[in-house]
Amino acid sequence: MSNVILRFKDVAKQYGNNLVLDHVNLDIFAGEIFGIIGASGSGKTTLLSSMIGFLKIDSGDILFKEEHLLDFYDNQQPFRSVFKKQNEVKRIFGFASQEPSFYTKLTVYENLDYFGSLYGLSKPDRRTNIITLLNLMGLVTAKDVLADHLSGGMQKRLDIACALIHDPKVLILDEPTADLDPFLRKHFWKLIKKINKKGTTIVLASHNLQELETLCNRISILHQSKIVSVGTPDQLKDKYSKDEEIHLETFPGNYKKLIGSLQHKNITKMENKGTELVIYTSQAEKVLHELLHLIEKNNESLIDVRLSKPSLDEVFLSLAKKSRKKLGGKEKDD
Amino acid sequence: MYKNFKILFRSKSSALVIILGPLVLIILVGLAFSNSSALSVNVGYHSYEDNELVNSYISQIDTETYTLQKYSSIEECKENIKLSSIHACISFPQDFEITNNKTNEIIFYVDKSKINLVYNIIDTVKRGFSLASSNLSMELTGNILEILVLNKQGILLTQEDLDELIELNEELKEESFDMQKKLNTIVIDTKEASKTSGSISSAGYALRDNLKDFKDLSNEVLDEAVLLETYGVAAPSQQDNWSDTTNLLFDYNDDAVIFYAWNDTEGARLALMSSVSGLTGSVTMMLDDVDEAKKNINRVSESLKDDIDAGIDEKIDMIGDIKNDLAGITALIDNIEISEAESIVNPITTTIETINPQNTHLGYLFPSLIVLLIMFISILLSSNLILMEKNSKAYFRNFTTPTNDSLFILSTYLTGIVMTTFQIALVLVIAALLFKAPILDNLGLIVVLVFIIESVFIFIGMAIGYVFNSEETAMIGAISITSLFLLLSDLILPLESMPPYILKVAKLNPFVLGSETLREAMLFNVKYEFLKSDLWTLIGFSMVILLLMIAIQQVMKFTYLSSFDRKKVKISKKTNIKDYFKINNESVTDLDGLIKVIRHMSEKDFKKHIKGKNVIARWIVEVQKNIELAEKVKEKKKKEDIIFLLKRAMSAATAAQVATPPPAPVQKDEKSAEAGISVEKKIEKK
Repeated sequence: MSNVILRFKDVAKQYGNNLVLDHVNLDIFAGEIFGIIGASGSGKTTLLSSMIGFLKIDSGDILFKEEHLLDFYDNQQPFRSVFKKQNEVKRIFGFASQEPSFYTKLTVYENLDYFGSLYGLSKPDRRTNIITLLNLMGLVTAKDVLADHLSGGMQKRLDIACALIHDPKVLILDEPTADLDPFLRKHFWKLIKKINKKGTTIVLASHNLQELETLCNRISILHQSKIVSVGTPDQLKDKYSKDEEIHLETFPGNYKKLIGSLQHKNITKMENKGTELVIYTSQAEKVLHELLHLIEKNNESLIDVRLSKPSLDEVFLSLAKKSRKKLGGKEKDD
Repeated sequence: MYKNFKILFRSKSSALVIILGPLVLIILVGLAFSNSSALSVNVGYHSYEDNELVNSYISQIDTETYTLQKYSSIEECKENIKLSSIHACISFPQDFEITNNKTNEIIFYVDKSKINLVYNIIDTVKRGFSLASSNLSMELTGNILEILVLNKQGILLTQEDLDELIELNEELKEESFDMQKKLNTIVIDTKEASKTSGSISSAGYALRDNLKDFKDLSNEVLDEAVLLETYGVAAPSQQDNWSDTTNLLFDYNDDAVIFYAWNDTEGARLALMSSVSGLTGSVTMMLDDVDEAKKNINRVSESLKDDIDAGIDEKIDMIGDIKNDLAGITALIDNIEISEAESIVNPITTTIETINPQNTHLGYLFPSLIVLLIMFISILLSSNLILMEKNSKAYFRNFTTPTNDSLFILSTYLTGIVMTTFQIALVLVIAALLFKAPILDNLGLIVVLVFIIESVFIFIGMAIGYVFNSEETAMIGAISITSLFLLLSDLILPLESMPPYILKVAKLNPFVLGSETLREAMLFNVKYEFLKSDLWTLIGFSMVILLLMIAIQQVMKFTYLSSFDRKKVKISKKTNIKDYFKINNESVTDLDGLIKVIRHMSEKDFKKHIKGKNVIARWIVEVQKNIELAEKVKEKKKKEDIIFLLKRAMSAATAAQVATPPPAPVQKDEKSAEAGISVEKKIEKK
């Protein structure tokens, strides 16, 4: 049985005439990396801000397990409302928002030391934590550099280090890699995994599906104000897309002819992506067989062929389309 | 530039400060100083006695402008200047009265540290006292003139008496002339007597000469006789001398010198006798003449007696009258108490004395300058500190820590205190060393005061920092506030020139409170016991501002945290009703969605939606084309009632769909839909 650390109970939040969270029910388990996916403006930040009590909700409650009860795998243990035990919440949770939050005129070390003191840590504890975090975040060489002089990636690392200075049980990250280049992004993913390995539960909100797919143990999809689904990435893919993807690369690559020749009722979609042809199908083996035959027939030379499950992007898009159809709203591309 | 204006005015606080700042400033300053009324000044005085003269001077002080208060001693009066209860003190001298050979000196005690007020008071009070002195001079001169008029009358009367006396004298002179004439007729012949007298005189002289010669001869003889006697006694050796003397005596005998001398003397005697006889005859004749003259004089005298005696008596009376008149004039003149020109022209001298031990302008202004410095440094520094915190990237993170707000307030306050104290300490030390500023005498109290004043202004600065969101607007706000404090103080114009209701407010101005208290402690070395009330007022003031600042901080914190969901409901004519209600930014199209939105709507937002044209009803007409339902919804004012109506409509629609095919939609009519009820009526007509 998983140990629930945070529980959303019928949480609803509305901004005037816009309902953002519609009776959200959710459990987050200790030690996992939990992802929240949703389009821009879907309420991810609202959900995270409510989680630490910043935002008051209209109805329902957000409950957390107190620190001394975290080791008990008893989900019937009394939970506390995050809105009533703010100081306790702040001790258990660490929060890193989209924008880095630290003093630019203080050095890396000074920033960490200052925020450590705000959490009431003793000087030796602060020193120990800072050294650990500097090593973990790769900021040892920059410890005496003014935060203002750090690069974007280092500033992001410092921000997360500040959120971790009090060794929180839960780290909440809101779009942690939004402004980073792909290289830094991958570096960050490794970092987040390292933090998680130390036992910190991570709640991550992002609209980057690849990021969530790579990092998260479980993902919840926030759509139309509701958590439409929660599960592991594979569970979600299975649930929302039965298709598999065939990635094909041939020479000279006359894919138009191939597409024209390939008439199979189980093919959902075919796309020409650069030098590849991507075919979405629920009967991959049959389609692949037919495809190889057609390659030979059309005098194409096979360079590469791969078979894979669809990405979360596909899952999310298909889910969005379904919801819109249900609501009767206009089709919009996010 | 256009962009700058846009950015500036889109920030509400900026726009507010830019427009309202100068307006508020000019209104307040206008209210404070736009009047020509005289100063409202308290003046104390001390006099040893309450005599008329003191009152005459006191009455010259305009009681509409000046509030007068009497003190039992001049020291008490001066102490009250130091404590700012009064602005000036007048000391009347002991035995204050106008007499000769007495200098009356009225001393004004003023506090020159109130530079912009003191000269005004001196000028006004001195003017009043000058008037009193002029009045006094006029009174004294009037007295003299009155006496002069009386004297003139007396002199005129005396003049008349003198004229009469002169007339009488003229008459007497004529009578005297007549008498003189009569006396001139009296002749006494003295020629014969004179001649006889001459003969007697010659005979006398001859007799005298003869007697002298005879006397000389007698003496010679006598001397010889003496010699003879001597010689006789002496030894025979003196025989020669003896012979000589004997010879001399024989000579006298031979020459008969004595005989002849005697004869001459006898002749002279006879001549004299004859002359005396002649003279006796002349005198007898003369005596007869004198008897005659005496008789004449007696006659004249008797005639004069009646006339002159009577005239002289009359004159004596008149002279007596004149004497009396003159005595009266003298008495009147003697009655003039003040006769010295100095005492009349300048009966009172006034002296200005300052109660300040300092005598330089810097010394007078130093406390105000220090408070001015504290005000600017504290307000600007603390507002800047708060804004630096608010605008820093770390502001958000502070809210994620389990730290009490009071810690942030305290840390900002302490930073402000340390920085300001350092700067002020530097200024004080330099001022004490270079300009001999009076600091060391009352150092303990001054330090406490500086600390309290700093606290007040730091709290104000922090409040400004919390109110504004940008450094620019905070700067404008801070400068506006400090300018207001400055203008409503007595550094530019005296507070006493303000209308009473503004004056009451201005006296609570922390700048005024601070500079007054510091002035008293610094310039007059006033101790804690006397400054207790001011000190506690300042502390109370700082507490009030602290509470106000905490309230502002809490509001701003709430606003900041609410900014995460600050999306206000805006319903305007341009609002597209069809896309108005949303679920996660998707337009709601059915009643189910509408129920969800209404259910989670706050009561405040709900009230906005049902107010006026009722957006919910409009939406039902526009999207659901159900005018009947819209009318019913319009009548309901409670969330639950509307949700109930909507649910019932949903159930009815579902039932209808099962039973019959869906009805044809009502023709879209934008204008009619706006009107609501009119559309329903049209349908009914059709």
